[in-house]
Amino acid sequence: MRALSLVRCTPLFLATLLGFSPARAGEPVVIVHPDSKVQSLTRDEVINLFMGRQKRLPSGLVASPVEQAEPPATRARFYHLLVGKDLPDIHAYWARLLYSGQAQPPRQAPSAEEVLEFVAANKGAIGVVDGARVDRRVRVVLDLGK
Amino acid sequence: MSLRMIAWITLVALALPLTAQEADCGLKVSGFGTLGLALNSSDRAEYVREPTQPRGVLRSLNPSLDSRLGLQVNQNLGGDLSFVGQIISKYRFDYTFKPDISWAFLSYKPTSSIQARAGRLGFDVFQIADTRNVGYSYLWVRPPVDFFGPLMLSSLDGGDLTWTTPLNEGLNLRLKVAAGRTASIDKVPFGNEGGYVPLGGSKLFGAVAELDWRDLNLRLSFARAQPSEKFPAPITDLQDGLNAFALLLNDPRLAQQARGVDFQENCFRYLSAGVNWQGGPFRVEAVGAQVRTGDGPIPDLKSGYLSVGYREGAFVPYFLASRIVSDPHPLYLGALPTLGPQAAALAEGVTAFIQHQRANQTTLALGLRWDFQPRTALKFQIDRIEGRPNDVMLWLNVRPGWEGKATVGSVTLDFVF
Repeated sequence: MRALSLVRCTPLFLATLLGFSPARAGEPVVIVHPDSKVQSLTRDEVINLFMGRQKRLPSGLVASPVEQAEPPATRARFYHLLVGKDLPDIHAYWARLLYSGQAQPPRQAPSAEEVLEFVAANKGAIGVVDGARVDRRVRVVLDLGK
Repeated sequence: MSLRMIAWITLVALALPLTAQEADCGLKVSGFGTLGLALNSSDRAEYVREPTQPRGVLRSLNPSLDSRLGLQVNQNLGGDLSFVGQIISKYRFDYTFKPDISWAFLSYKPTSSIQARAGRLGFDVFQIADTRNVGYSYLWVRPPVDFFGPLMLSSLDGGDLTWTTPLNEGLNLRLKVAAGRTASIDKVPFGNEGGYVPLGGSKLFGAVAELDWRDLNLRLSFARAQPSEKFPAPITDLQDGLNAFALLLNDPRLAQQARGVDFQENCFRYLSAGVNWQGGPFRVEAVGAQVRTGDGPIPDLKSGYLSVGYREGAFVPYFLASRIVSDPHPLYLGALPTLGPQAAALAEGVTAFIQHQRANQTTLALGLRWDFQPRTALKFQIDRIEGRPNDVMLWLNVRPGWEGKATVGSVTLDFVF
């Protein structure tokens, strides 16, 4: 198990070091601040954070989820890969949570650059962007497109 | 009414530029609404969505049944503290759309797993009961009337405590307890124009246990409400009549019936279990509930619904079946019907009152939800209702010739902003 995750993580680690993104264009990746003390996240952890079930990162920091609102295709692809749901279902899900006062939906940033800026500026931030836009200001913790 | 409506629309228009914006001060303004039209095939009984509506739908297009508008503010107060306020405008007991403050509470979330709320808040006695007015959040044009129709409680002045914990990968448990008094905004129209039975002030206690596993949600809930108000004059007249004859005939069972028709003598206990599964394109929901009353003649209720939808792109065709049955409690009238016209009229009055507390009907519905643009859905639904003509709890102004059968067609435009 450990050997397997090492094998899986090494190329990602090297690529990040070299400043390359391992993800393909159009495929969403989950990113955090490099100082968040989070190296990687499981799919279930990301589901809990983006679906309003958990409010803190595994390192204990209060999480601030942020999404790339435009183009909608990136968000749609993210939720399709993460929970197998279409955007109308996600919007209806959040209407239920927001208007029953349980939780608030992730912050919407208009562009990939603004997601990167927000994540780079906030230690507790966790964002979703088009994998092709990732740079060394942030750390990739889950690549759903793989 | 028109002046208030204008003020209300202006308020929403002012709020619109703020929406979907979370300023740095942590304030977020958002809202939800439904524009609806409904038509009933019958002119003999008015179809209503909730018991707080003073008029229902007959054989002409009716916009008041489903139309509503809500506005919500979420204010982050720093740290773990936040405020949520919500106002709702919908057709209410006094024939107007005057907005009511549905929610105003402080939320404290000291850890990831604990949330405490205090103030005026919604309580989900049944699944989705606290978002019944947010049409966009569910599949149908309205929550099944056979199930939610008898549920009069909406807001609670008090507090609740929620504990959420992940049990395993993808498995989450949520436990919630709530206590307080039902808010004064719940008023059921009664008798003449503007008259009503207040439901506020009832002592309420409730608990919910919920289990989430991937696409599956299981839910069990319990609530107990002790009304504090007496019924209004026409009902207390029946009680006085029963008491008078109990004395006259020396029949203590009649006096017992007199107490039994009072709200205050009936502690309402709600029990509900439900399952919700959203796997792939399927949306399946099955919920059952039981409402128990006191020892008097006011009947217990059992109800449930099954909903199946299938998403195909922007379209979700769905099927919805719901049913409610009343377990009649024995009604004792002693020698009343045989004691001349006055006593017989009293016996008739008591019987009619009990019929109004009974519901026995089944609804089959077919519908289509069309998410034609982000955060906006158009829905079409046809309901076929078949029930016993004398058990009229869920109907208004029943006229002679009512056979307990109706078809209702509805269109709604649901949105969030």
